[in-house]
Amino acid sequence: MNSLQKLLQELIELEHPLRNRAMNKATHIFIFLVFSVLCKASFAQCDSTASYANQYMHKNFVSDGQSYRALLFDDQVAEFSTTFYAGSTYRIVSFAGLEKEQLQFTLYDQEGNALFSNKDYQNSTYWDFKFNSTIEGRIEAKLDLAKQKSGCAVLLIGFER
Amino acid sequence: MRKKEKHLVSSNPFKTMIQLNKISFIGLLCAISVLLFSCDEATVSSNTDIKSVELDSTKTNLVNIAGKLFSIPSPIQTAILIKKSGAAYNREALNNPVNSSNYSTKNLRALNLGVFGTDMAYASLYDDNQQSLRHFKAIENLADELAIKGALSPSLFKRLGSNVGNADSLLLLSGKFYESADQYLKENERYDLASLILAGGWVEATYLTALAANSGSSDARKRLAEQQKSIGTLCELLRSTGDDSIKSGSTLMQLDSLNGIYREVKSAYTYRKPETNAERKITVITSESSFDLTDEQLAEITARINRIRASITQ
Repeated sequence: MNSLQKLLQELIELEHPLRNRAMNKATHIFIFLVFSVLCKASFAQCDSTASYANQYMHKNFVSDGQSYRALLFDDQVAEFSTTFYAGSTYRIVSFAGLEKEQLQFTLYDQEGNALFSNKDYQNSTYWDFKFNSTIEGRIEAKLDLAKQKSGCAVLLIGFER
Repeated sequence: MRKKEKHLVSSNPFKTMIQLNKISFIGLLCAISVLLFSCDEATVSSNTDIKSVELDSTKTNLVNIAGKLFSIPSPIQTAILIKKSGAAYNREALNNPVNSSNYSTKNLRALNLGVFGTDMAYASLYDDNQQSLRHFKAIENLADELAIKGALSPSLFKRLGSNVGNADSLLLLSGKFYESADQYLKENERYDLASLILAGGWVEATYLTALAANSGSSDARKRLAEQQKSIGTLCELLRSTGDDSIKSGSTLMQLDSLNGIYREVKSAYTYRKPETNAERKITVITSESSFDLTDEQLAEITARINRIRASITQ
């Protein structure tokens, strides 16, 4: 998106002998409209992905109240850290695009030990975790490049009531 | 304006053609980009040979989800723990919903939106329906004043209102409400408000935990100690908003000071291999962590969180 934006900006700034204000204005309006559509399309895409992901968050689980979304391309990795409390069961739902099992996620502990990866379980769309002790966890998520090259990645975390 | 365009078109056909070509070229570029975006969802053949990609953050591009590297534990979860710990309900400890009309700045409104969210969950868990409803109204008022109410689903507000008294549904819906608000604010790059709402919720949850810990609940004391990481995260989150009124504000200064006390709390961690039941899709994380919160540290943390909370709610 950024490179496209730069390219368009360069085009706008090109010194052309026939350039005039009317042309400039029309171009700007056109670009603005296209970018508005693009932004809306990417948010809409994430909304659809989030709706699909929500189907896997069972009613026994309460959302942690935060939204984790990222547009991923190729081997980009989305990462975040959170605290998982002792005695609680959590559900992590991972979804990319509009089909299940496209997003791979791995849970690491505070020392960097891999605790779980859904890659070992056919990219399972959801997985439950029971924590005996409070752990500082780090989750890395990336697209399964065999299935998808780019798309909106959504992660949901819920804790069992 | 219309005249100019007419002149532009009629005076020189060659000139017009070049200009139209330029527009067409940009249009073509945009069309290609739209096509690229619409192809995001397209899957590639599952038979394609794909090189294995290591999950090594040093070799790949890292992207922060929603622009934030860390998340703050849910205050609703803390309220559940307080209830489970057997601590008695303390209505007097909650922020009075009447205060909601006293908050005149956007920072105070956002902080107290978080505070009332925790209070509503707490009151609801202890079946204090009347108080839950009052807190719900305060949340509605503050969301309205922050001009985010309209952006959130009206049906969600309606369902929240009609489920006051049903603790289970209310917890689910309030989780959804804060998730929607978080999503809306981040999409609109209002990281300042999103972070302040989280901060308010955390401060209130920690304040209620400290009250329970001081009344003898060992579970609450443990949970209070476990906030060591969250307080650091919270300070980082507020600092990253780029909002000067937050970065130089008293709330962050006080939280930084509290973080200093937390850093002195001793903690230990031992890794143990997790146990996975693939059939049930569950993994038990057996690693162990411990925190050693001294009486002096408990007293110091309690005093500081009380001061922070008072500066937000009064």
